[in-house]
Order: sequence, then structure tokens, then C-alpha cells
Amino acid sequence: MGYGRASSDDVLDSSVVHALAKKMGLAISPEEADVLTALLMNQMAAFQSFDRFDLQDTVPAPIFRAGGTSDE
Amino acid sequence: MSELTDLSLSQVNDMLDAGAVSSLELVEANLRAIDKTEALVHAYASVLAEEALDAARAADAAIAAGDRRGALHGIPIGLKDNIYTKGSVTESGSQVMAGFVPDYDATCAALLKQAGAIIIGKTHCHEFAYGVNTPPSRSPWNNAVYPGGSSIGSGVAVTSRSSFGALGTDTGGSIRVPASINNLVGMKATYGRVSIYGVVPVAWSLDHVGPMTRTVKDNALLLAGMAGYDPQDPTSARQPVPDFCADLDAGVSGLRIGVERDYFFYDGVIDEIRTAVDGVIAEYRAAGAEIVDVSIPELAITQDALFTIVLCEGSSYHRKLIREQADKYDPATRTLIQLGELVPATHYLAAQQARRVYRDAINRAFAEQQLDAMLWPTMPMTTAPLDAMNAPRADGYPDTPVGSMCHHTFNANLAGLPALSVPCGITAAGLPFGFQLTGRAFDEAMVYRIARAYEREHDWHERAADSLAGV
Repeated sequence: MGYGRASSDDVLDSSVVHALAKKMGLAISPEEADVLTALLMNQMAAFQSFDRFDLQDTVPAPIFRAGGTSDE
Repeated sequence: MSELTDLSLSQVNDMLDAGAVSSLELVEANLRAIDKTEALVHAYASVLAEEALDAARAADAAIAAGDRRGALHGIPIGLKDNIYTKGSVTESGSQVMAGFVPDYDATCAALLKQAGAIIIGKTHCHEFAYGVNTPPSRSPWNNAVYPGGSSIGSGVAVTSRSSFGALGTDTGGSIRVPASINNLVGMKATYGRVSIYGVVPVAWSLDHVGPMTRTVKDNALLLAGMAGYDPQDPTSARQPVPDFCADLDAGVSGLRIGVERDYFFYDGVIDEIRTAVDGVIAEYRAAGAEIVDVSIPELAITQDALFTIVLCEGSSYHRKLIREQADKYDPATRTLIQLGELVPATHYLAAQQARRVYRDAINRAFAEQQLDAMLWPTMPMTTAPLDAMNAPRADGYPDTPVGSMCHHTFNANLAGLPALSVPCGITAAGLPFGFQLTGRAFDEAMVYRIARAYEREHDWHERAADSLAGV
């Protein structure tokens, strides 16, 4: 059936996610949009978890540099 | 199983050197093992029997002419099916790549072929190594449990004695987790140590290729055969490749091994593993190593940081495929790929900021404490029944098996540091598990040395699943 409130805190309607995903060219059913919305809410929580540390002045890691230890 | 297939890679290397066995005998022994075990374990997506037999005959001719190229020459190994092999089907566990035949070898495959290794087959993996669908491979240790992934077939093949070693790939633990579950040694080397050119990506900045073997020395030999700078891979390191076996038996006296307890020995670690790994630590101390308590609170952000990065980088790779062939993806894989497209760029960059914070923290711990390695369990638990992976953990700890399995492995991919899983026990239920050593960047040799010091005092690596006895 699809749609509805996918997260327990009721902040994101999966019909919005469905519409956005379709607009982006993704093949997705209303039922899959429900799942996707729940996962997206988890991702929002993950984003907030980064606030446990002060990242304000942190330059992102050099992502494709070998070794992972050197910035040279 | 046969006497030959029960031998380690380094043992058959010695036998080849001594003329006590031929490459053809090794390949034939492996093919017989495949015939006997595949109905039980389904390790291989494809078996390259004719190609392997031809390569073995060529290896034997070269060896007879006095031209043995090195420790891998004439020895059959398996490759995970997300590693390109010229002229051989490479499907990465997905209908999206059904029937795809690369016209070039991944650099790691090319290097192994140049070293004379014989590719006996391509091993099953989760779809695009995402780890969310259920491949056909099963564990010989217990047919009802999850054998670990995403290098699921590589782990099952080596523990089933149907190859002397295999390559896996590891973006968040996909070598070390199946190594732990299958009683194997599994290495994710330093980011950049092994080329990822020609390997189907999961997340470019986290992907690694590495060896899965039955012993530490086997692992070091296989890594040596595939490591080195590759100009075709922009993430490849211009670092010399040392002899990983040079100090293998030098022991641990005087070495400093760090142990972090708040994160790696949390309440989710089952008692059997906690006790066994504490025992490993005690043995190292008794052998002359100094055990150093370390604190790395930044470990708390590694799970969210890695998952965010995987979502975004992975979805970038699939941007075109997911639009043109969406129906060919397993629904679970497809959902994760679609999710990645909806994650804002700010989340991705915040994850990379968190990554730097963690990476700096662990490197600071190595430097300030003058550590040679750090040690913790590879996984907080063993494995779980295939149909219970997303259910609450049976022991009551508030997590799922899927959620717990990579708790201890994501961090090494974020930091890019070498990490090795080493067998150290089998539970009362008959399920193997390992401990993990993480080293300084490009110091895989030290990790192997420390691992070998434990291995030589134990026989875990010689133990095989009971189910193999009757085949």
C-alpha cells in the first residue's frame, strides 16, 4: 500500500521521498519509499551523531590518498 | 579431504620447490575437493577447471626448466567474483553483470598470474559486495549459519580446502568477518598497498583487496604477490613492498601492543570471545610484549561515518546502472543504492570530517604510546542463523547480528590502517572466531610477526570443520 509516516517521530512523509526519488529518475514503488524513508531517518540520526565531536574547524579527510596517515 | 588439500599454501610451496609435488597434482586435488564440497558449501560462482589445468601444465614445465618464479608459482587460489579476470565471467554477485566477461585483469589478478599463481575459480560474493542479499554459499562449520561476507565464497572455499588461499575485498570488514567466522587468517592491508584497479567498487575511499588463508605465513606470501604501486590506480601508494616474512618468527619480546577496552570490549562482546581474547593478550604479555591501555573515544563515530561514506560513494558508482537496470538488482541492494542518492553532500563531508577526527586520534595513540599494534576481537560475537541475521540477538544484547558483526571492523577502513584477523578459538557451539591486530600504516610485516607469535603456539589453523571429514 505504501506511504504513511515511516518514522516513529513523524517528521517525514514517505510520499515526499517517493516523489523526490521519482523526480531523480529512480525506479521506486510506494512500498519501497516507506522503507527508504525509514532508512533516511536513520541517516539523519547518524548525521546528528557527528556532533559528539567538534568538527567545526576540521578539514575533511583526504579521501583518496594512499596510506591514510599522511596529508603530504 | 585429501592429504594435499589439507596442507597450507606455504607447505605446498616448499613441496613444489623440492619437486615433491607438481602443480598439476595440486590443481587436480583442488578440483576433486570442489567436486566433493560444492554441493554442501557453494563457494564458487564459476570454476575455471580447464584454464587451471592448462596453467598448471605450463607451471610444471617452467619449474622443470628451473624457472620457478616464486612462492605462488603453481599454486591454485580463488578470486572473489568482483575482481576482473580477463576472458572469465565476472558477475559481482549481481544479475546486473550477468555474463559480463572483462577484457582485462584487475591489477591484483594480473600480478598473481605473473607470479605464477593459478586461478582455480571465482568465488561468490554478496551483490556488488554490499552485504545485504543472501548468496548461496554455506558454512561447512554449520550449514544453517551465515558464513560471513561479503567475501563469502572466498572464506568458504579456503576453509573447505577447495583452494589454498583466496582473495577477498574489504570495505567495512568483508575480509576479516568471513575470516573470523571460517577459522581463517584475513588481511585488509594499508589503503593503497594493493591496487583496486579492476575491482568493482563499493566505496572508492574505503575499498581494499586482500588475502584470506589458513595460516599467517600463507597470508604474507599471498599479499606479497599482489602488493605494490600501480600507476593505473590513483589511490595506489608509492611504497616499496618489503619481505613480509623476513621477521615472521622474531617473536613479540619488547613490542608494545595497545588495547582499547571501552569500545572493543563493550557489553556486546560475548563471554566466550571476551575470555579468549583476554587470554591472547595474557599470552602476549607472557611472551614479553608490553600491553598498553589506550583510550580512543572517537571510535564512537566510526559506524555512522563509514556507513554514510559507503552510501554516497556506492550510489555514485551505480548512478547510471540503477536507472537503466533497476529491476535486475536485489531489492535490498537497490534500496541502499537509492538511499545514497538522497543523502545530502553535507552529510558526506561531515562523515569525512569525522573520519579525519578518528584517523588522527588512532594515529596519535600509535605515536604517543609508541605502539607496534593494537589488538581486539575481530567480532563481538560469532555468527547467527541465516534467518536470524536481522532479528534481535539471541543472547538478549539489544542489537541484531548484522548490526554487531562489523562493530569492530569499520574503523580500520576509515583510518586506512592494516588489520588482520587471526583464529583464536571455537565456541562450545562449534563456531570459530578470531582476534584482530591493527598496525601502523604500511607496517603489515609487524602485524604478521605479532600474529605468527600467537599462531605458532596454537593449532587453531589446523582445525577443519567436522562436516568435511566425510566428503
